[in-house]
Amino acid sequence: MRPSRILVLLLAMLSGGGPALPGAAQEQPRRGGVLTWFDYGDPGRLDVHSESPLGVQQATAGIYSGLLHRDPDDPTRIAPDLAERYTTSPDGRTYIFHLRRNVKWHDGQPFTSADVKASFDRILRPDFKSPKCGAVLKRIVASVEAVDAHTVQFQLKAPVPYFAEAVASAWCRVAARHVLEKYGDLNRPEAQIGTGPFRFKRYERGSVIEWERNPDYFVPGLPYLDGVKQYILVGGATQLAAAKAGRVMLWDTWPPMRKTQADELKAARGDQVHVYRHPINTIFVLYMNATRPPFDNPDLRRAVMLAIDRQELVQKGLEGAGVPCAVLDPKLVGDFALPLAEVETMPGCRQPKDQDVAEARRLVEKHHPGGLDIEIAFRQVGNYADRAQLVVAQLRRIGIRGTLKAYESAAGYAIYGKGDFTMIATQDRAMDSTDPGDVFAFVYARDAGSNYARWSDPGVDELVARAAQETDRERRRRMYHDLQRMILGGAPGAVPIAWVEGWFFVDRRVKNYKPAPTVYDNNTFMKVWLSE
Amino acid sequence: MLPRVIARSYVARRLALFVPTLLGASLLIFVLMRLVPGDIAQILVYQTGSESSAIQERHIRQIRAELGLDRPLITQYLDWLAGVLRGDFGYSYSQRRPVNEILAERLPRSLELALLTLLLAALWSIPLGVISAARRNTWLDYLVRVLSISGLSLPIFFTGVLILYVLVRFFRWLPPLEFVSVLDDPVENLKQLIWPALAQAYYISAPIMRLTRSQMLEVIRQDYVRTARAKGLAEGRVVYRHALRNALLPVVTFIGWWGGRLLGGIVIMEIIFAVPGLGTALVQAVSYRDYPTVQAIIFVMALVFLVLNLAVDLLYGWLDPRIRYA
Amino acid sequence: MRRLLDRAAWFARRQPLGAAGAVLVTLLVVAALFAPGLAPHGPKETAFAPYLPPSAEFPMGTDHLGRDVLSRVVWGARLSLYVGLASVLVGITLGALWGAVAAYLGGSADTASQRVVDSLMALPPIVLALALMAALGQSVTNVIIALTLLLTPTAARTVRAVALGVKEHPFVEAARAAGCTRGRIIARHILPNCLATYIVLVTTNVSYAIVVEAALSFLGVGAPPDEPSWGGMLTAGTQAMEQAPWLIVFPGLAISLAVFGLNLLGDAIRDLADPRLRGGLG
Repeated sequence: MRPSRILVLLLAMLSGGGPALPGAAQEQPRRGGVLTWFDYGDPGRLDVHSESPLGVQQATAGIYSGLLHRDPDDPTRIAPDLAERYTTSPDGRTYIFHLRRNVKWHDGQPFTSADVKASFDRILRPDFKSPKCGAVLKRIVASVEAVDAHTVQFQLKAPVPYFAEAVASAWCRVAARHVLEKYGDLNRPEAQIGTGPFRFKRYERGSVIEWERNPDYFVPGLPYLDGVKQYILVGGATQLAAAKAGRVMLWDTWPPMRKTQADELKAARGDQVHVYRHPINTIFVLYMNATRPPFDNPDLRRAVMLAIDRQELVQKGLEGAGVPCAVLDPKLVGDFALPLAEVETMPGCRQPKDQDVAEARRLVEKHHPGGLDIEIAFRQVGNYADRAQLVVAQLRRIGIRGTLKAYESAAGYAIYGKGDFTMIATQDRAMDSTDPGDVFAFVYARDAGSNYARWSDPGVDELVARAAQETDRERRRRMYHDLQRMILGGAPGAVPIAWVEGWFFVDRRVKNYKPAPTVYDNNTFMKVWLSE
Repeated sequence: MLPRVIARSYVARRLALFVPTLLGASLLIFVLMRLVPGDIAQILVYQTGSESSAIQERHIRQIRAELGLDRPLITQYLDWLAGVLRGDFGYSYSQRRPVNEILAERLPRSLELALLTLLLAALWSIPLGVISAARRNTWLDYLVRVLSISGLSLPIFFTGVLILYVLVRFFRWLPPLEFVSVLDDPVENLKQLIWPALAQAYYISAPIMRLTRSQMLEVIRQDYVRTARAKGLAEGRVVYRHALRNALLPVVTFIGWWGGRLLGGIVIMEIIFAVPGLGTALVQAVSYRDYPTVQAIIFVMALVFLVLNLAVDLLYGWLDPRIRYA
Repeated sequence: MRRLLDRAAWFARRQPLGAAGAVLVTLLVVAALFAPGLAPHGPKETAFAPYLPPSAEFPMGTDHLGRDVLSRVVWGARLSLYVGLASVLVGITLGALWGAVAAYLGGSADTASQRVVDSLMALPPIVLALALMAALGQSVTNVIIALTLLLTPTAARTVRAVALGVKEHPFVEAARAAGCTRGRIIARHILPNCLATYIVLVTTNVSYAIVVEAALSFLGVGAPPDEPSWGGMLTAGTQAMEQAPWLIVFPGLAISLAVFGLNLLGDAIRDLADPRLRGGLG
């Protein structure tokens, strides 16, 4: 491991991500019991390589292993999984993974480097849709070769600082070559054959997904649980009722609980549950379509940037659970983020708002004396409706009279993808890792998949590309600081409103459960145990 | 009793009428679904993917081509229809399995829930309707009517949420979250389904009660009941023996008609009580623009509706010899 | 005035439940008509602290975004009545015309129209409305359009059945013999004789429309969220049932009383108009 890597990990540990949860390590883990939790929707498809919904990840997390993964004891760290260790060449372009021996697939077949090659070849195939793992690796990996039965070599196109974290993603799982050959994909329940701590036991569609202990798991003594049961609960009221009745032991899915729901749960279960607030590595963004009037005009984009009251949106729209204004959240990426003290004094973010609102009104007046009317879109999911209503009220103060246009969830994505909107009041974008480059690659770069605003700035694009390849940590940190200042001080198509947090809970009986910095990671429950 | 030939030709004629109705319904939903913005390719690619926009566009084209969504609409419809004629409803891309499998898995559950609902509704609202008619314009009549109309007055989703809330808050108990087939464990099955059935039955009981009442009132006025009364039969016997049988015919029709509607109407109850039925599958399929699945489920719902109507009409004719198949 | 009171007293004695319904419906109409005067604040005004319990200042408390619940409930009466009346008037009128014309024309036109009615009725209403709202986009007008499409076929079928009976009457024969045009016969003879049916259909389906609107809100495809829709308020309120019960109690009461009143009144009118008429969508 190179020094910069260690530094990152050290900093991550210092920043202490993850809440203090009960279940101290000194307690002797107890074997047995079935953990129950829930999924917010029926995943339907199960192929972890070609899908992107959280539900698919939840359904299959415990079945598979990766080369690396997030350490179940401290998910802010990257730890070996199927690879015992890895080495990096001095030029940073070659990674060699040394695989564990005597690992068996759930069907008894031996695990070898051929499986790793088959999995990553599949993910990297240019015409293969791999919206999570492939989206990142295709940009950086040139080839994957099996050196021998227990050694795999990754050749990179160029050295990047975040390769290990990318490979550790819960979406970069290793599947068996013979299973891929037999079924063609990983969608069927029968095809869920991994090397993970649990075996796929049952999928009663629309109702429940069950795992059972893998007795041949390669870490002796693990997992502690006999099994995991995941109910599929679509209705919010049903989810809360299940939590209050003690039928689900944790809430770690999207959307998080509202504060009122968390309070209701505490009132019902008292000491039996631990309710906590936790970041979900997700940014809440407001988009303005930069290709059509009025927001093709930078003055109007700047006006909105100045006028939006992020603090109020966090207070009322997120019930206090969020970090307002930040383009990067220090809790998640450490000092790559601009210090919040600096962010909070920037125009648009500072309180009180009077000065910025007056300036914004002046900018609107300059081009639209008497104000203007626009349509403000949002998708009807989670608490988006609440946030959108607040945005409308805030913009009315600067002479922008918005009419809300609610879209059914999927219809909204279609409209956004086509660019057929004027403003999107609110849209959450979850990150795939804790690399500071994610938010720029997903939202701000010209060709970013979630750049619905179709906004681009050559200076930003150039810096985003350069920062992604910069291996010197200090230089990289400064580049990201510059990027954040460019966005907060400019007139981008996407206004960063806040980093979203939410309320979650774990049952007191559940021990050693550690939420990861992304919602996708550390859902394998391999080291989780039940005290009774 | 009618000559069998007439009855048979009547059934044949009614069955023939199924064809245009099903065609119409399927065409309607086909067109409607295509008017909804977005298709499955966009949804799968846009939802939470992290690719660049150029790659997203390529994948969308790729999926559309794979599913034949780039073909002319008329070709797509005729292809689907040809499949239906062969008994093949196509392939669900959002669930990656044949639609026939989805139907076989979900239809029995929703039928069971609908049947349970109707049973509960009939058990409670027909007696109430009779009482209300027999004691018309007394406080009892008013009480019964107020009770049944109150069922209509709360939105059904709210009744469902309230039931969940009360069960958890005051009884510290929640119906099973995991669906178990009635064949495997009838008790566990009932423990889950009884609640949505109760909520839905409460909601639909008002029209059934109302119809029973008005039918009873009408029949009571008729000659043969007066004759029976004149013969000195006790009031109770008159009501229950003579009037009820005749009054119930339209009620049966109505319940059958409701049964057909219910399959689509219990969607909300299925969501709240986590019943993996046809309704939840349909809502999910609509949100994924999974056209083959939506079309198949709507087709089946329409078919059940038609079959039930026909069955009710035949039953009606059989029970009431005065009806002639015109 | 005196006569009006007498008639009201007669109605109340004959149909005490209907009279109770009439009182509730009058309240609803008054709230709807005078909403701007009755509501202390604007229904979309997010100016107050969120989750304030009922007090002298806010008799029904404030909601999660800091809006006055009383004002939203009062404005909600206007919205509900508007959605209910508009969809029912348009839907039932279109359906009635459709049914009457089809019945009078008979033959292949009638057969074809019946198949269309059957096809529409064979589609599950909630799902049809869901797909329509997704296709049209969410607005109050589109809720009305979706509800209209649900109500039209029912009305067409019911009115057609009545009109078929009217058609056989001797006076229609006479009119035809006297050389009246089809349009004239439908307008002058068929339609007026379907009026009772029409009135009953209208009164019984307003409440249905209000309840379906609430169901659409639950499924996330109802009126836009800033609109003071009772169904939308109730749906949002279920997220804080214990902390802020006033968020479900007041909209819940409003919707129940309105629908209850409309049903009682509808039943009474039905009894008076035609004791044999049954059904409605329920």
